[in-house]
Amino acid sequence: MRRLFYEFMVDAIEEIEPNQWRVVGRCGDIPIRIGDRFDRVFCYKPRQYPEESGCPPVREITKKIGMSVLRIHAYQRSLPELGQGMTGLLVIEGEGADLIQPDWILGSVDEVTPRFLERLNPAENPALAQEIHSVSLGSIAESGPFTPVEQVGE
Amino acid sequence: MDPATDYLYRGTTVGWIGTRSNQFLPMTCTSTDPLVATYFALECLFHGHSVVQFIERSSVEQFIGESNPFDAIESAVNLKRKPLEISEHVIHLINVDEARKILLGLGFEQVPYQIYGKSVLNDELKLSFNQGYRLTASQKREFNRLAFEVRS
Repeated sequence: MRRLFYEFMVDAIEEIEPNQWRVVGRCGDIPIRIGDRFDRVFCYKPRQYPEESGCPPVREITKKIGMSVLRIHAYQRSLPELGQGMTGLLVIEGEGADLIQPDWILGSVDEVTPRFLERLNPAENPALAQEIHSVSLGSIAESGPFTPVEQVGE
Repeated sequence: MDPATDYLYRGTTVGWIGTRSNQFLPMTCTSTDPLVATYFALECLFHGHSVVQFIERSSVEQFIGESNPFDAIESAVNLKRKPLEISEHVIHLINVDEARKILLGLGFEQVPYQIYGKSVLNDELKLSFNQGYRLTASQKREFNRLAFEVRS
């Protein structure tokens, strides 16, 4: 079963103004919008074998941050949203920039939630939307918001 | 015409209309390297019928758009059209399994069976680029020759 997280994979980061940073990277499986908030930065455990590429990555280190998305740019244009898998540039502000480094991932402790689900237009990807919808409705109805199973080291 | 450079490749799911950002811009990403397209297609295996598409570069030259981060890593050619509009220019496609088999035959033994999600895809693209795993012109010619022997 797919597990989807709200993520932005960082390739580079630079400060552009006091308390504002430009991060270049790739959006994860859920679109990112202006105003979104990242509350964790983390890295994944390195894979040892090629077969592991087909398995969910495991979070190795997680640190708390508090960053909000101010602007989104891709293909030399400003956008309201960065689509899943797209590369681009985010301008972010907030606390914890010193913890962000290349190859780390901006994200949230939350897995799929209704707020993110509505971003995945079923017309874009009926199979995935159906799968996420069924997973989410079940897990939320039964146990409330998702709590990651990985060890979280602050 | 050089068969090694005539084609752009795109790894995708059949019928995928793209993200809202793809629609808004509009923009569709292709690659000059079939290995890159295959990596994208391997991630698409989780979404449906996953394929590597072939597009004649000359048919979309007029749509080539702005650059973006990771263009070098992805050998990217970004086309200012929605994905389904670009699909109209596809002249051939093969299943991702066929693409992977051809690449294995060309010596790219590190190509995984599947790729789980965008973060693993990102890692695989960067790692393979940093290790110099991209096709040479002669390997692209051979990839094309073998791919066109496969019925789409």
